[in-house]
This record gives sequence, structure tokens and C-alpha cells, in this order.
Amino acid sequence: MKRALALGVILLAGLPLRPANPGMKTAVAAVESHFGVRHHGVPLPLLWVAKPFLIRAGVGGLRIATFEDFRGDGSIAIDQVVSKALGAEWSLFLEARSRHERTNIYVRPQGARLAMLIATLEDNELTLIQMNCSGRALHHWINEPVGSAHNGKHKGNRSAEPSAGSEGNEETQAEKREPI
Amino acid sequence: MKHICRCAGVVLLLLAAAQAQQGIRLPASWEKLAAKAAESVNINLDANMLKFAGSFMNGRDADQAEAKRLIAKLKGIYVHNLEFKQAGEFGEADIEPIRTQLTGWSRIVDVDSRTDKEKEKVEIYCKTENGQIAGMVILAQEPKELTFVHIDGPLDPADLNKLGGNFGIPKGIVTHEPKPKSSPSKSAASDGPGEKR
Repeated sequence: MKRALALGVILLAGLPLRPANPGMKTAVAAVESHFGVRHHGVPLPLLWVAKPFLIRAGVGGLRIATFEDFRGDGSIAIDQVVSKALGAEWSLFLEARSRHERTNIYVRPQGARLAMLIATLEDNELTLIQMNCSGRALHHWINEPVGSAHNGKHKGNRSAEPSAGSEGNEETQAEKREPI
Repeated sequence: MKHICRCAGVVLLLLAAAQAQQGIRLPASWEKLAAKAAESVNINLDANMLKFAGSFMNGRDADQAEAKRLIAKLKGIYVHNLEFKQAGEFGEADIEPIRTQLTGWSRIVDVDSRTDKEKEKVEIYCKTENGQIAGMVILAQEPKELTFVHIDGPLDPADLNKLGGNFGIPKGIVTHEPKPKSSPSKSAASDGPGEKR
């Protein structure tokens, strides 16, 4: 019995631990470890400038990580790495492909909001953006996903346009750059 | 032998379940077209996402309330859109495998509009189960654009235009015969329900 228990403990200890809340951190860590690259954050002043627009657009909790000079081993691999890191809780909402750009948007309902992770590979630059969308912002994204993807692909900042659904001051703890 | 049959049955069931989850599997020719396209967009709205989206729709707005009622019954909306740089980059030979995929579906609308201003072909297919519509496919072709939409779940064709312009579904889809226009249109007619492919 003791032997069985010990074996169970050893097996459990050997299991890879999935973080309780997979998201940006796990995606960034997976990309870094798989491709041997380091991410860069976005300067805080830039986010401060964007903050009022983001609040009005119902977007909060913005986190951005960029990987410059990203040389993956094929663009499909990056999709697989990010999908695997996010796990089954996140579902692939949108895939957009063009000659020089690939964008995947993963979503996960989070209470009354929707967590959204955008992975964009443009030439040799990979950008990961995570944000939380309010009901109105979500309404905009879901109703016009193609247009939103076109607007949001470039660093996701266009989604901060007021037309994306003005929300007043609903989101008080808007985006802050959190360390990844 | 019995064991093999059982295993094969399980595999088929799993494949069917996987296909049901992801909507209609697009033929390999779509991937080839996607590789040629200037831009390719796939949108997956599964039942969970639709439910979540519905919870944010404004029930006091008549249009949103109607859309909310319609999507509440759906299992998913899957949109595949290809945009090409030039006209003529895809042809009937590329479209036919997609139609072949829809064996057992009824084409209820086939509008081929070729006016001076626009060239557009829209086909709508329905799948019925126990006399009820269980799914719908829209195949819309423009000279530089190809859109395939799979709506999984019960939806009255007459309600389709209420969802058009939302959820990636093309706008202005008319499931009834349009009124005759003064501008020439090569054909604008529904095949009528029940045309089996």
C-alpha cells in the first residue's frame, strides 16, 4: 500500500503542472522556451496615451508582448505553440491570413467580460496582446469580426477607437502594463 | 472481426462528433484557394460563444432582441472568407468540390446577379432533420471574394437576413425571390425548396 502511495506521489509530481489561469503569461513563456526568444513590453507612456480611448472602447487589462526578429520554424508552429499553451479553456475565434501576416484571436469568457488574446505574426515580428472586452466591445467584435480583425491586427490598439463601442466609465481599472 | 467492426464504429463516431463540433469540413481545394488568396479569414462562433454574445445583446432593441432569439437556438456559426487581389483567380472548378461536400443538402436559393455594377452569385443550402431545418450553408461568390458560411442549428431561411451583416454573415441575403429590377440580371431565381443535390 505504501509502495502504491509512493508511486502515486511520484507520478503526480512528474505531471506537468498547467497554470490555474492560462493566458498571456503561459503563451509568452511557451513562445520564449520553444523558439528561444525574449519578449519586449510596450513603453508605459504609450499605454497611458491610449488609456482614455481604451476605457471608452470598453477594453481593459491590456498586456502586450512583442518579439522582434522572430524567426520561427514555420508559421504553423507558432499557432500550435500558442494554442497548446492556452489550453482548452481558450477557443480559437478568428484566424486571418495574408501574405505577410497571420493573426489568431483566442477568446475565453471571464465572468461578464471576454478575455481575448491576439497573436499576430507580421514578417519577423510576433505580437501577443491580451485584453478584456466589455459587453459593448464584444458586441462590436462579434458582429463585425472581419472588420475588427482588420482594424485590431496592428498592435490591437485600433480596437481602442471610440467607435468600438463607447462604454463611458464602466471600466475603471483599465489597462495597465502588467509584468509578464 | 467483431472487434475490428466495433473499433471502426467508435472511430467513425468520434470523427462524426469532431466534424459536428467544427462545422462542415471544407475540402482540400479550399486550403489551396486560401493559399492563393490575398487574405483568408476564418471565424468560429461555437454555441458557448453565441450564448455569451447573446447575453450582451440589448433586449430592448428590437433588432438585437430578434438576433438574440435566433442565435439562442444555434449550435454554431462558422465563416470562411477569401479575398483575392484580382478577379478570376478562382473558378467553377474550385467551387465544385465545395458543392460536392453538400451532398444531401437542398439548395433553396441560387441567385446569379450579373449587372454592370456587380457580379455576385449566392447559393443557400439547407439541411433538414425530421422535417426541421438543422443547418444552413451560404456560398457567396464575387469576382474577388468567396465566402462560405455554415450556420449549425435551426434557423428559418426567412430569418437569415436578420442575421446578415452580423457574426460575419454577409449582408443583404434575400431568401425569397427578389422583385424584378430595371437593370438586367442574368438570373435571379430560387431553385425552390426541395431541390436535392
